[in-house]
Amino acid sequence: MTNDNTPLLEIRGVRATAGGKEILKGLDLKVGPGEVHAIMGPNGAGKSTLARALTGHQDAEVTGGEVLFRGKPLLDLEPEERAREGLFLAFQYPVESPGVNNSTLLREGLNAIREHRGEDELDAIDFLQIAKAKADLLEMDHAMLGRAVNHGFSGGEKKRNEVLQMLVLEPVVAVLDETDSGLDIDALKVVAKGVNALRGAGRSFVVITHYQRLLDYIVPDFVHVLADGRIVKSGPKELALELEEKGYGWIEEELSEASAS
Amino acid sequence: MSQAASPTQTTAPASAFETDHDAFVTAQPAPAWVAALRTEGLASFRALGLPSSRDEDWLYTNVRPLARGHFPPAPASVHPPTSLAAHRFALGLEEGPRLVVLNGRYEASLSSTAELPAGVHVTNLAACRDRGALEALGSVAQAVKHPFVALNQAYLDDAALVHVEAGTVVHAPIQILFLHTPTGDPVAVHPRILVVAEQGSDVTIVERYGIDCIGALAGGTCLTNAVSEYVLGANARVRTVRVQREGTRTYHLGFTGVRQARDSHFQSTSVSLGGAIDRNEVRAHLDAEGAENHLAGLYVISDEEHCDNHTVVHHHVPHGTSRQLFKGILAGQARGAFTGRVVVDKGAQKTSAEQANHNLLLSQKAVAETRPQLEIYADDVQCAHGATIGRLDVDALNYLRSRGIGKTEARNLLVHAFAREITEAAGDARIGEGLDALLAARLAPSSEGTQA
Repeated sequence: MTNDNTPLLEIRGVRATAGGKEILKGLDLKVGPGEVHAIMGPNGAGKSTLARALTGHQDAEVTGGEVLFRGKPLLDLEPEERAREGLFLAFQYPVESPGVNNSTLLREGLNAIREHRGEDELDAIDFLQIAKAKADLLEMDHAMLGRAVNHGFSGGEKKRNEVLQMLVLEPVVAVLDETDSGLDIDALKVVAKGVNALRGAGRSFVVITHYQRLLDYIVPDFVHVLADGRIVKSGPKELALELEEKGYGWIEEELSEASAS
Repeated sequence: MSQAASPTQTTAPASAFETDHDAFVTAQPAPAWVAALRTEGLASFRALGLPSSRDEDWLYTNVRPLARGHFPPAPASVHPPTSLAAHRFALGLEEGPRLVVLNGRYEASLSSTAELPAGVHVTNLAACRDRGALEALGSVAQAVKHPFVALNQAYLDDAALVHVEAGTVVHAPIQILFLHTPTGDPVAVHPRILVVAEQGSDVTIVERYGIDCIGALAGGTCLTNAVSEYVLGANARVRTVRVQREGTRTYHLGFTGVRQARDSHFQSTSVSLGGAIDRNEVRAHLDAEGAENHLAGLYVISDEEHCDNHTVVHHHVPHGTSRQLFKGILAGQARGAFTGRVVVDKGAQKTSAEQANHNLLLSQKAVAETRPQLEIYADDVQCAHGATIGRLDVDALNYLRSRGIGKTEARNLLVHAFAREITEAAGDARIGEGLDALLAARLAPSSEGTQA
């Protein structure tokens, strides 16, 4: 049974390997409706593996634990089924697909999701109207819609294109994997604008980032520190500032003191 | 072979192609000049014989099934033309000029040449009482040099002829369709095209073979031995699109000969959609400075089909440009081969030649062979070649699926994406879309073996 208080995403003790090595070592996270959770952490902590495990990427093999998406088990679903249920990942490294048209990808994806929800398929004209309005919000040239997916895009264009996809597909839970990395401040503001446009009671975000700067524009409800495959510390948005200032060393010290005592 | 009854001058037993010739000549009388060409063709075919796989140019294609079988010339169509008129003239070219050759014979009732502009002459060989403007016939595709060109000439019957006068620009693509109708027994057709584009003219020719594979649908086996000749005058621009879709039991041998004068521009897009044996040859000669030659090809094969693209682009003089891009999509146990030869003569300085062959394997058992051959005798040229053989990109597949697109649809999108570079090269949006539609039909799940 789901009700208004059921978490949209609940990760329980998830363990996962990548390249034969255990990366996630029992990770727990609960994301309620309308919440924005930021996940920060040192390199190699498992942030990208978490994103991959959630979306069913072949490079992350889940070996234990469970994930509930809107109260239902997620991990048995195919990647496309997860997307249709309303899960979205903005890729850290968006994949280039020469020859696949950007708007074709979006329309096929959107229509598959709509069909899953029992909604009518959008024709090319209606779809384009929606896509153009979303592109305007992100200050993207409409010509981008007609180009091959990410092919020949600059780093910033790729990230913006991920956010465009998110706006069009209107997921229930969006995971942003370092969407801010490598962006200049103007591009960052545009990306944040896209995310904030989608924020609402029924939609949640998991924002994975290295940099506190993003959180000035996408203000999180919670900040978590991911280290060595687990969430080791959680706090309010101020925690991000502390991490920016002091790095992650003090948390590791705190943890070893805690385990020693 | 039981057909090889009559003795010949050569020591090898005569093939059925030779012994059938007398009956053909009797059944299809022709003007003296055509009869002379036939006799010359037969003599060349006898002298050359069928190629063996020891022949360097036939390394990847074994034509022994042709020697073993019996492929007499196809009889006139038993189907009333009206039943074919209803057939889709796809590629977005339902309207516009077209020549239809049915079982080797020009079919006026299906053809339409009325709307061509002045300066374009489209006709068929049987309508030409004398050789007249057809001096070029046999000058580019020379019977003495190639056994199947010789065979085609030996069985010269009706041919599609396009002559574009100097300075004439033809906007509507001219479609030439070679159709077969079902017969119980194996038959052969020997289609022939001659296109002469005079100085400064501009024309698009669409060659289609076995539209929607009527014969193959009925289970008939067919040999198509097609020869096309293109003669480009100075500054002429010719685009050709060649679609072979005769079905999985067809033996298709296609030969395209090209001669290019100064500053002429030839662009060919060929799409091969399967056959028991499909051989697609191009022999292009850049005879004068500034000529540019672009060859693009796509082959989509499955099951036990075989497709062999074999090109020779010969730069005889300086300042020529050639580009070749061939792509194969191979499923089942299909075998695809590409041999691309670029010859740059000693004097052909400042030649720019590029060649690429990319293969997408959709199954474990499909085989792709690729063989670039650069013969460069000049020292100031830019020549490059590249070849790849790979599978679908797992990351791209995953990316599309992560957007809600199903696995099969995602695969199809990526396969189409791979092919699109070729269909877009046709340079005409309607034709490109038509080719995409043909490709979609070919890749549909009902097409056995295509889904790996």
